[in-house]
Amino acid sequence: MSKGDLSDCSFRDPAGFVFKGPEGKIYRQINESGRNDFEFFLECGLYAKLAREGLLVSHVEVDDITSTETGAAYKVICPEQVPFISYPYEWSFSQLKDAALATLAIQKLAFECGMTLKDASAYNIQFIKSRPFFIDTLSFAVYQEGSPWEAYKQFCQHFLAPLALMSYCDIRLGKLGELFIDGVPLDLASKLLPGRSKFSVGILMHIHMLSKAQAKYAADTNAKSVTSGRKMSKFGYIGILESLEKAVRKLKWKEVDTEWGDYYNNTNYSDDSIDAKKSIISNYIKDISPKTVWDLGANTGVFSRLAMELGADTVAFDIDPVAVEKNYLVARKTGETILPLQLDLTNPSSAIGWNNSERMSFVQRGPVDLVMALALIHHLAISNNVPLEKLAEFFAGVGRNLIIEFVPKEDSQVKKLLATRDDIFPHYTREGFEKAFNTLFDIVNVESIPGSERILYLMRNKSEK
Amino acid sequence: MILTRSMFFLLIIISFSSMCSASDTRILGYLDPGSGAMIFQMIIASVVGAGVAIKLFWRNILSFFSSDKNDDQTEESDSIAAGEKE
Repeated sequence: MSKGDLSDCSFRDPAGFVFKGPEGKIYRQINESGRNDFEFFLECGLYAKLAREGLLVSHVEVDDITSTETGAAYKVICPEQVPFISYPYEWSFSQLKDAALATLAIQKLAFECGMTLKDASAYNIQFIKSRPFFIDTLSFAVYQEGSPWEAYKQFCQHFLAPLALMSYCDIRLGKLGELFIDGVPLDLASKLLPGRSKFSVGILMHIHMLSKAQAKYAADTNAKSVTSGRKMSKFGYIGILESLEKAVRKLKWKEVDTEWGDYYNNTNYSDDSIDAKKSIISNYIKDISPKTVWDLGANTGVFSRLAMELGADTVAFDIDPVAVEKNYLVARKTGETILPLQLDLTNPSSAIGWNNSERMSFVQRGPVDLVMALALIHHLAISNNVPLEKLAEFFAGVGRNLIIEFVPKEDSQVKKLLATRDDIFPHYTREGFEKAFNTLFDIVNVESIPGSERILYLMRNKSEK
Repeated sequence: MILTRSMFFLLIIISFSSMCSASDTRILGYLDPGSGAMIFQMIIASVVGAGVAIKLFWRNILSFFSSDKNDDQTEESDSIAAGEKE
């Protein structure tokens, strides 16, 4: 019998929690207090329905694994493992929208089976093969006739408010989720949204009016007595879900031309150079045979897909929301295993929440077998003044192997970066680069990309010996 | 027509009254749902709930007529087929 460590991400629900078992596998303990709901969840056919429709991670019951807190245990289940845990503030617009629609679809199916979602946290959704999956098997409770949806406000904060802000104000407001772990406060969303958002019935009702209602009843000690004597009809319940769904579906992001959105049409690469680069990278990946890959600065994922096609769980990070959105929309079409995410490498996702340990930082989610940093280093070293030694240190902390492209000063893209500023980077040379990385990495292979000034390196982390 | 209108209003009255009837509701207690949000839901439920009721009602009416129409079409196509044979 193996015992696992408790995870810091699920401690609020008395019905159970998640823990890490042998080999880092994630398990979920169901406590006695969650027994009735869980049994009903299986018996009413909701679990089978959700698993069949690809909305919920499937699970198997296990009896040879326990957590360190067995006192209240009723059962332990092993859910389908999520290749990479991502957070809503790292998703693109369509990823958040799909997650919102999946949550509502799940709640509708639950309602048909006499159950309800007791929370509607965006953190309950994870992406597997470009599809949103609900991961919290214990979120389902038996529906009490006449009760309103308890997670209504949470749904609006976690999904509707950020989507509306991204759609009406600025796509970058999706990052507000990192500041507010329980979703964007509705009074803030209401303040930031333009007046024209009130012409949308859904936004008017579920953000502006709801925010007013919250303020009105916040200090009302009689509020509980107002709700306790009332009963909400099933029509009303379904009406609210349909109204939320309509509001979410109507929100669109009118794509804007950002710096990177059209990158591959604006590079100094010829088709031949791109093909040569692809072939070198593919060979490097084959040498490593990685199970997990992070492509940093992946743009729309052209090179990330080389790793994906060779069977690695690949996460394609990029700072640009347009690139991530495009990447996701392509991946979604065919259910690719690639996961596109937004990330600013100069300020990557932090560890947030209670005790700074509810949500993992970017670095905490590594290290991975292979990190790819293609056409990236000049942006970090020159645009952001990060010394080469610091870059080597960072890459050594997150990857066991590294494919990195050195872009010298002679390259037209670097010339552009230096055109408007003094060259204060005397060490930014091929020799300086190799010297900085040699302290932490063994250089396994070096190849020039034909038709360009650029060089591709395959390196192995020295600490992996 | 008069019948459908009166049924319409009856349905709305029923849905409204069912929304507001007195009964104890249990709060699950895991999440703080926010008192304002709970009261607000009760209020908008009567509006959007009536919408759902009306939608379902019309859907039934339409499906009733469309099934009649389909039957007619089937009969018509059957007769054409029969005519061709002749």
